[in-house]
Amino acid sequence: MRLRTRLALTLGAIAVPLVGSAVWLRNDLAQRAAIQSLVEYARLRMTTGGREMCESAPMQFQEPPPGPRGGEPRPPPWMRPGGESLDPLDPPPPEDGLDPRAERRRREFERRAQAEASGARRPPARVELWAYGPDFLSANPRAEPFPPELRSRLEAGANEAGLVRASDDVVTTTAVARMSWNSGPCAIVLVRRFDPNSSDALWIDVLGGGALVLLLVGAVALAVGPILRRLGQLEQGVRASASGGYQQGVPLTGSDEITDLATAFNTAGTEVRRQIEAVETRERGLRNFVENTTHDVMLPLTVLQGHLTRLRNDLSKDVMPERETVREALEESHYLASLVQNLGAASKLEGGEPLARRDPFVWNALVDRVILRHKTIAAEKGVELDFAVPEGAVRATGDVTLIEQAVSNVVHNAVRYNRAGGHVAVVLEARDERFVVRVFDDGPGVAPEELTRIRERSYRSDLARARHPDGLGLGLAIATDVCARHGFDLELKASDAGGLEVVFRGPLAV
Amino acid sequence: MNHKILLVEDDEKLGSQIVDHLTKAGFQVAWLKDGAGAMAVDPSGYALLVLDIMLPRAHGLDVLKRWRERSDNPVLVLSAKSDAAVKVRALELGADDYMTKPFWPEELLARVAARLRRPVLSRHNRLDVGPISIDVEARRIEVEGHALELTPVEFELLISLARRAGAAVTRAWLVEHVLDPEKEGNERTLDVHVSRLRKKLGSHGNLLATVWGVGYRLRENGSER
Repeated sequence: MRLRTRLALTLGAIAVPLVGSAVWLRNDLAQRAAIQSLVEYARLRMTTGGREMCESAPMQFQEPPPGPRGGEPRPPPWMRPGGESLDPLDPPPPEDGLDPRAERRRREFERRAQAEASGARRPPARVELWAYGPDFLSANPRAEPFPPELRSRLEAGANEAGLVRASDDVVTTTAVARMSWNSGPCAIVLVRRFDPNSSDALWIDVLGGGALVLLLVGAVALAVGPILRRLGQLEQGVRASASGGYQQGVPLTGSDEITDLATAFNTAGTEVRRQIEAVETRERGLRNFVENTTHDVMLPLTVLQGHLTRLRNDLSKDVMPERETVREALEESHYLASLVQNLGAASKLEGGEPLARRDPFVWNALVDRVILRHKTIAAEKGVELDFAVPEGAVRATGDVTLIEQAVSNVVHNAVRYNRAGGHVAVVLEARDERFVVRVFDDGPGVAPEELTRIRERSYRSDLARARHPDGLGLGLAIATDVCARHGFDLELKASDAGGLEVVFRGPLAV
Repeated sequence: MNHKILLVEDDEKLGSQIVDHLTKAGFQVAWLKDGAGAMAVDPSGYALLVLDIMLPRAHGLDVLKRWRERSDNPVLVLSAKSDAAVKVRALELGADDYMTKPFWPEELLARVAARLRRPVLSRHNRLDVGPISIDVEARRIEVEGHALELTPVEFELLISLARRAGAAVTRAWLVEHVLDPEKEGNERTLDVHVSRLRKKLGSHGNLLATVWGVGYRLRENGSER
């Protein structure tokens, strides 16, 4: 449901019963006032001579008195021309000293009645007055039976009561009042007033109420209009911003809740833009990585294919293949495996995120695995690769895959750049709450200034040149990074045996 | 040896290569190619189980979990993933060892052998390494039944190496634990003791091998590393 319709319906649902009850309340109050005024009239009339008249001739008492033909009652005195009392039954004009308070009230009442009668366009009202005894029976045979509903209310203890009945063309207001003397044939007085029933009053109420409701709904609709218009503009702005990849925010106008909403959207848009950019950067990095990886992997694969082709050619010519070719093929495949593992490690490190995994591991088993991995290729090259670990487990924590790769890189380099008859040793020790892993060889070694240079090289920039002539590129850079991430020390120095010595140091696991 | 080994590996080429290598090394090998079949296996019927993690129809780790509910026999996990999480999870679930593909056949055989090797120390007071028998309590040594007279240092040296036969022991450790500190023993003194011991072992002197850059190792036979 649209906002405007919903508001109008809500308002209607609230306003219609409200206006209805206001109309009802007004009618109810008017009826009460009419009854009250009739009661007052009855008391006034009876205390200003009415009682005497009634008690002196209860069988004829009624007001207005019956007409000459005994039919139509005469109109009350204030309705006759001149307003002067001509009837002997009419109360005589009060003499001086006769209850000035009652006199004042009577005058006021007459003034009001006249004003009402002359002011209203509708035909004047007709008022009757009848007297009844305490037993609710009238001595006057023309009197109608006492209305049972009012009788029961008086019997219940009320001193006055009234009701309003409406028929098609006349509204009858009946009021009864118990007189203060409460005895004799005029103990209870009934006053009945007949008003012409015009449906105009009802229509006025209905139309008035309806107009009020319409006015309210219209006012709200008007007030909501600008808000809806601004919401519409915001919606268009959001659509435009979304279709433009959130490059542009929505325009900000005003300083209300809708402005806040627009500001919130702009903030969200900025965040989306930031994330899109991050994803794009990552994707670019990934694309570069795949390209570099492809390049790095294709190279040794091509070399390997070359070796295998040479083997096949030798065999097809019934020539015993050269041992060297087999060795090189094995070495190349070994390098390939190590390269792929390094590229995986590099991609993991390249994100630059802090280390996610801190699993406990045992160095003894790790060193054993690394030695086993390179033992075959070392034997093939004629390099003696050996190791020693303490009897007790040396425990530490970290990303075991990365650490194994780091140590593996160092051992692989030591084997790869050694000569036949050379040696590589790995020694694990635990000292002063720290582990020490030494990898050393008697190979050609590395010049001191070269050592610094190697460590400063970033595998990020040299990914595509992992197969660096000095051969220490990617692997050692990864080892350096892995150690930095774990808070391990990595020391590169000239070995006492003549080659390179690489030492890993770090805290033991508690 | 004639141990029974179960291999669970879905790749035909790799599987047949592994079976080939293990069979040539003297093992009886049963080979399953999917996870569902491996789930149904009773692991207690095999001396060692080699399990690939990426399997069709059931995850290797689930297989491992099921096996561990039934038996404690050693399990060697193979994984092509270099993801540490899988390895750590496998070890948590009770795998004894893992290997990352690619691996050399020799590497696999060495791992398998390591898992199946019986403890060297048969009883607390007795060590047997190849032709050498050591009665630790009586401090008596025999080589092929012939008693050997050793100095206290030579005896401690031989016992220290024999306890970890096959593994290299560093010079530093031996100096610290074998030599008498009051006599200011150093690595040079150690080498002298070793060469004397080697001489006393006679034709079996080559069992006491020098490990370059590390120290010494007592080999269980003449050809082993």
